[in-house]
Amino acid sequence: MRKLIFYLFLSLLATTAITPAVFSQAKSVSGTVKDEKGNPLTGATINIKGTKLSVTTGADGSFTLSLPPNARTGVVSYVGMQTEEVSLTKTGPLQIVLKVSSANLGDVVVVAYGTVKKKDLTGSVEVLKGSDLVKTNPTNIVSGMQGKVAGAVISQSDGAPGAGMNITIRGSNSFLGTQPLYVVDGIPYVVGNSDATPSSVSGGEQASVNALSFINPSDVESITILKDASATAIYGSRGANGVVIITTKKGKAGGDRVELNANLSVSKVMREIKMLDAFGYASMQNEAYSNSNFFEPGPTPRGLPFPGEVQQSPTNPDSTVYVKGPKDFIGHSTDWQKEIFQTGITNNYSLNFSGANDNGSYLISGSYLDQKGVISNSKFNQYGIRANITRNVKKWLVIGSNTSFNKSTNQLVKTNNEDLSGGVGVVKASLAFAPTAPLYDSGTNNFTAATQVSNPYVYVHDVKNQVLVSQIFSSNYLEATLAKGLTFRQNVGISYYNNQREQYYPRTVYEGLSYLGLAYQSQGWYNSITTESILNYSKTLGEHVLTVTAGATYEDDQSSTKNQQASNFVNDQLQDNNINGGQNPSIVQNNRTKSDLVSFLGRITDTWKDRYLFTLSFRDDGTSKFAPRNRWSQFPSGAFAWKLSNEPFMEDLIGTVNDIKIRTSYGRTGNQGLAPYSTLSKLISFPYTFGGTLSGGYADNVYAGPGNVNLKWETTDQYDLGLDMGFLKNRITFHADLYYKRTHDLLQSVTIPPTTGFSTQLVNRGEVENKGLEMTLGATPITNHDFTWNFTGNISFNRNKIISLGGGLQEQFATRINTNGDQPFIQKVGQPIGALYGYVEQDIYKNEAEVRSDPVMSGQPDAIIARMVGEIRYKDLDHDGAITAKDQTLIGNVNPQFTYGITNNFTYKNFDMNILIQGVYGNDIINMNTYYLSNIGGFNNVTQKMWDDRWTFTNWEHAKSPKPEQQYWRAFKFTRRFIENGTYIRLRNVSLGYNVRMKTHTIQTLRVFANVNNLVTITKYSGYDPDINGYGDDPSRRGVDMGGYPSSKVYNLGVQCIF
Amino acid sequence: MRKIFHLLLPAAMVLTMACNKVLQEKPYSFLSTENFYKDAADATAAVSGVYNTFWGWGMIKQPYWLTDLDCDHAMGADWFLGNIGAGNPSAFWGINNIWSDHYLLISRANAVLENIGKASMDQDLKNRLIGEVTFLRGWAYFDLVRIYGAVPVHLKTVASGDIANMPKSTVAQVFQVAINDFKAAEGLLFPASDSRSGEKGRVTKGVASAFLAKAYLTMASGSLKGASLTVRGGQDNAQYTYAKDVVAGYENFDSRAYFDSARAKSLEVLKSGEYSLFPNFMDIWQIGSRNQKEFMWEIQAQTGNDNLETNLFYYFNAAQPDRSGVSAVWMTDNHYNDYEHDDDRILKGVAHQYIVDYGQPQYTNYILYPQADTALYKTDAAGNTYAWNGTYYDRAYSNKYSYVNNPGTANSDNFFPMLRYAEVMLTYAEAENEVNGPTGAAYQYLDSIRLRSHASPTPAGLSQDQFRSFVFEERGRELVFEAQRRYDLLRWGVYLQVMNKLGVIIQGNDRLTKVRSSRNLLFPISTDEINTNSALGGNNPGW
Repeated sequence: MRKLIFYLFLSLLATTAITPAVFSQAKSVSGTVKDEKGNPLTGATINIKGTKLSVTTGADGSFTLSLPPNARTGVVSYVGMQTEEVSLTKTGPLQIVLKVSSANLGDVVVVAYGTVKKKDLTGSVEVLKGSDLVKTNPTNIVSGMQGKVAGAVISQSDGAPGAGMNITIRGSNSFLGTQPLYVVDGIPYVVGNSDATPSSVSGGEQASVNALSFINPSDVESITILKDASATAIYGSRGANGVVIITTKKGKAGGDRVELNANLSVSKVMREIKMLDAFGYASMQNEAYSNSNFFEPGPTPRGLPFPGEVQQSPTNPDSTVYVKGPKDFIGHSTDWQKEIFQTGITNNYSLNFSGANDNGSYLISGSYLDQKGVISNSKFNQYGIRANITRNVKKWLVIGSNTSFNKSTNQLVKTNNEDLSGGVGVVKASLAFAPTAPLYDSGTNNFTAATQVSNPYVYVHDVKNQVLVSQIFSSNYLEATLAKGLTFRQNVGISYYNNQREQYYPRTVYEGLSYLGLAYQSQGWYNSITTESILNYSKTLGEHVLTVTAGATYEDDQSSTKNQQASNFVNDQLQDNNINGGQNPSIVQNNRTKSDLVSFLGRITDTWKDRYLFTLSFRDDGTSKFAPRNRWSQFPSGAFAWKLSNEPFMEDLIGTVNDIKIRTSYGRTGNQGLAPYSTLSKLISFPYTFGGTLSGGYADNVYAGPGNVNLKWETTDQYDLGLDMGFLKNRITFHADLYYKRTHDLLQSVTIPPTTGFSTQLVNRGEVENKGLEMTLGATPITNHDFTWNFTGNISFNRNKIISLGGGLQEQFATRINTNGDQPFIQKVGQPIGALYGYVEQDIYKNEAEVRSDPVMSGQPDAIIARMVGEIRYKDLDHDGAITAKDQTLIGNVNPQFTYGITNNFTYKNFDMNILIQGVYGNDIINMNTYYLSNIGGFNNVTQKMWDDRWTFTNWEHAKSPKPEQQYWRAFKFTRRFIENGTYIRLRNVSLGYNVRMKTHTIQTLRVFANVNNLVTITKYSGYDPDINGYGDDPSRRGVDMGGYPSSKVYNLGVQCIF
Repeated sequence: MRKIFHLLLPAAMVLTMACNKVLQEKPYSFLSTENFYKDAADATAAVSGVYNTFWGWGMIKQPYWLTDLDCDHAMGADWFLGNIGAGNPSAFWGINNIWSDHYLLISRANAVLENIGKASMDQDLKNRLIGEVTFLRGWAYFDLVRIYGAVPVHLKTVASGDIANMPKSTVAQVFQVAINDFKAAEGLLFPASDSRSGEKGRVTKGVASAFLAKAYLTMASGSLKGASLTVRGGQDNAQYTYAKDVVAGYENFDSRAYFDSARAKSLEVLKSGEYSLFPNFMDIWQIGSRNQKEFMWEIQAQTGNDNLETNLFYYFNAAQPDRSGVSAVWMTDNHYNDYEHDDDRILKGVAHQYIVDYGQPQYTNYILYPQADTALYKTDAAGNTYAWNGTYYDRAYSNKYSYVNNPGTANSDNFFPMLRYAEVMLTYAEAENEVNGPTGAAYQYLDSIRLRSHASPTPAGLSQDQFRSFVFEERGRELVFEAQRRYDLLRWGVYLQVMNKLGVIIQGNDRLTKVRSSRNLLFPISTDEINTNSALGGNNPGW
């Protein structure tokens, strides 16, 4: 520290040193400055080296400069170009050509509150260039990151257009949420997917919209992912889940340009689930009835539902009718999946204008996306406008603004919802609905009416369920150079997010049937204002290069939501547009919040001898979310890196090993996932009446829990050890990071004794650890004039473990999922968040003798014994002669063992090709669709597999599914029957592009390309897509498929044209 | 220009420092303890919130009086009483609510007591409100100790730092908490006639005194050693004399001293002149009588407000207004026969004629009770003919909860009696007998209750034992279905003996077992508590 103060003192001295210079008038020199393409550069600076004399070029790029006698060298600089030195001793006009400095830009990484040269990084930081992002033609930036970032598990909620995406960086270290902090153009973007999704009429709906879809991937310059705490600690209370810094493009030097991108995609559902056709379904129903007659005989056997014979008419006893049998349905089956699926067409256009000179830069872009989903009537439609402007007001003053406006309409169909009866959503309905029913019922001259669930076709077409979003995100700054090396930057960010959900369930579907039409609207807005005042100072002192950053920031977040509902409409014509027309309206519910964050931050980096790199950072966060005693929290970090390759003793190896850096860091961070007012008690109305007069009463809301002034951030201590290597002039690069994270004071809602007057309380309790390894290998195996092959592969391992739950607790359960009382998501000390708990199946009872011999069945009445034949036999793990809750054990884990991605880029002459393979290994998925359909013999259709595996009088020995039976007593316990291996490897993207060589100067670049997304997926998962995470942001209930929107294969044709 | 920025920087710093004030959280859409309790209106509303807990599903909304139905006088339909009325309370869906609703009341009361000091308001009103919630908290502990025995005691809220995992206090400690609260409340509350006592329906000084007497009486009778009690019962409905047990946890109470305290405290209420009996028994139950005379404290209902109404009418009144069915609870034939024939409490207090047709005229039943009085009740003024239907409807339905403003709905506006003046008289009679023997004063108060129902005077010349038993049985007659009988059986230590003497009751098609084991002396503690409170020390014996 003393040393540091000394350097600071020295630097002050240095700035006051004045070098007097007296020159006499002499000869002059003239010339022009142009870029590589021959365009004149206006405003380029030519400075005579060693003096303060300089001149700027005119509109035609020309200049004239008077030279003092000793002038030998000129320094030519221009924004975005490599600075050149030219000899001034030559005679005749100088022709100076500046090269675009993009190569250098790539080496500069945007980090927290500044930039750093990639080679000087001390933390674990991943960078994704915009050009790499768009290669896979993603519709949003998060899906564009899939498979490309080591250490980040990126999954979609489901495959719906505009659906939420989730990133978990280095494992879950919270029960509340694992979303990283997004920083867009320097300003934290705090609207999460769950905030962005307005509430819906049914609590079971988990479909979410992607808050980040407002950023057009083609507008992105770079994405930096900060992973270790030395990089994220400067974001303090919000850094624990990692930070994703998104920087949008600026206009670049080299003249004005116009870029047009046009894409046309066709998408098809990736696969269909093989259900029974009408013949199979009718056979299953018949078997279910005859099994019921056999195993639970009544006084008279029940007739088969599909007898295939002439019977007495139910309406007229004197006449007869033919009742169809299974065979009559051959060739007359309704494939309900086909009825709801369609070919999705996506149009995506963007047009941008950009340019830059010494006075500043501009980029104005407009984009339009119209994405039709693979389920009829679902689509996502978005318009966006962006203006990124910088202006050099004075030599020492730059101002800028990055502002975007977006408007989107997300037309949803009901998917990804918890319900297992009634309003199950269109996907589950399409699986379950009887294939014997025609789409259109000629008898009633209407669509076939709902039996147990809504007619999927009607469900898709008649229901209105849309989310409208408009948002403005504006990041503005002013940067002043106060002295040499000392800059002051003032950021002002404004974010405004407005959303609205409009739902209407008509009486033609289950949800609206009994309500006689059900209308719902919810609105919300989120508004945040951020100001950041940052001082940056950099100074070279001998062999030390020092940078110091200090700042103060303030953020104000406000939100408001409200919703209203009505039912019982005269008809379904006006949908939700006339809520007051409903005969049965409910009271408007609303909520308003405000939270504030005040922070002070600082960072010092020192590069000594270009070998030893030190970084120290600190943040002090004050939040309104906590009571005064815990309002302020401190988050320090430190890092050290050693550039081994720059040591003298390594000189011999230069040429083979050109870069070796060892990094190590420690830091402390917090978690942002806490709602405002969590420390406060919440009073709600509890009236009483005295002598017949109602008296308003207030008392604590039992379900909100008691106030807790002791709440504080859950804090994560993270240690990182990293290695960066480059061989053969970086033709081969290798990065590896080993990390250990321990999070304590976990924020969680725990069950507390009823004697407290409450049932749950939000407390800091428990510890969790994550440790892991991530590696990235880059290589350019072939590079020659015509052909280049680039390869990048990454693989990440993370192990999560609950160290303690606090309060002496050994296990607890996450919020229930809809599994009939069983709770698969156990949180157990020593196990990861996401461990699964349940019963174990032995097999299917083969025959009555086997049932009788099972101790679990002893003492059961004969009737029960008889009907258990062909039913699931659960293991009595504790051998107590009964199947009880104690027979549950750990049966799975939704966390992957590792995730990986492999990218290959090939260029051959004007062709380029990109292949991205991405995969996840060793995770489990809870397939709630199977859970929904498993009751074979009920009204629901079943999968072909369940049918093939069922117990029958002939297939009794090797049966894996129960017998079909019409019954009401079967209750499935949660077992691995409903858990599947989620391992998959996916050819996520193959693209082929051709750059047309243009003879004309009007068009600079013309590129045509085609790509296919999700071309091949290898998986054992029986659902639509193993890339599914129904509960989205909830880290405690990852990997659940509950009628999620199927993913699609996308064929895309695009053209990029630059004028 | 540069200077401006040199100035701007510290200015920005100062500005952000000032933002510290901004960090004070401001709720918009809810009231919080932090910004409540500003004035009299806030404080009054917070106290109403405490009273509101009586309307929980663990209280008056359903099972509060259900606990009482686990006694020798109640008979009910299997679907209604099959678990809690048959000695198997843990199978009752609402069993955990009984526990949690009492503690909900306690936690709300504690919150008021911790915060009401902040409110600027009239001191008399503040004292009264503090008195009310202090009493209510005491009431909850008194109820808890009688239902569960030893229980955890919270006198502060968890929000203010009280530990969540609280171990059980002893029975004596819980009683002490209740008595302290009753005493404190007694000192703060005003007599009912004082205008400062507030609206009808609030607890007053007299209520606190009477409950103090009741708590003393419970401790005294529970700890009395070597006494006997004669209770009518068994399958033959004969008189059986039992040597009473000392209630577990009551062993060290000074029985005589507590009887003396109970006697003095109840006499204080009797002499206060604040209350009087209704002249006729059936007057008590009329709508117009609510909050009047004899009703020292009633749970207040609000007509038409579902949250402030009960199912009492639906469960107790003989036939539903639309004749669609009959109610779930009635008194045993034995108990009906405990009264003299012309005692108003059965002559008028029990339904003798009612009609049921299940909504279908062809099934119309004109039912009379009891069979012995067929001649008396076979016709009504309209000329309908009634018959005894022993198979299905040999049921003595009480009329206590038959008077409501909205009989046609499932929820109705019954007020529930928490304390009647008549009970204070019985308390006095009981305590006086234990302290001074069956004195004239004891007879006098007992008879004023009997005579208004046209029962004969208490037989003269009873011994202390006989008088004790007579008061015990009189309480059963007067207070049936008012959440008293089970507690009387328990505090006198004869619950198991009386219930098991009765065995299984079969009336027509109805069957209810009264067989009990020692675990039935206390209710099972909420499983939520057992699962979450590691310090509790387990459930009550046998559960």
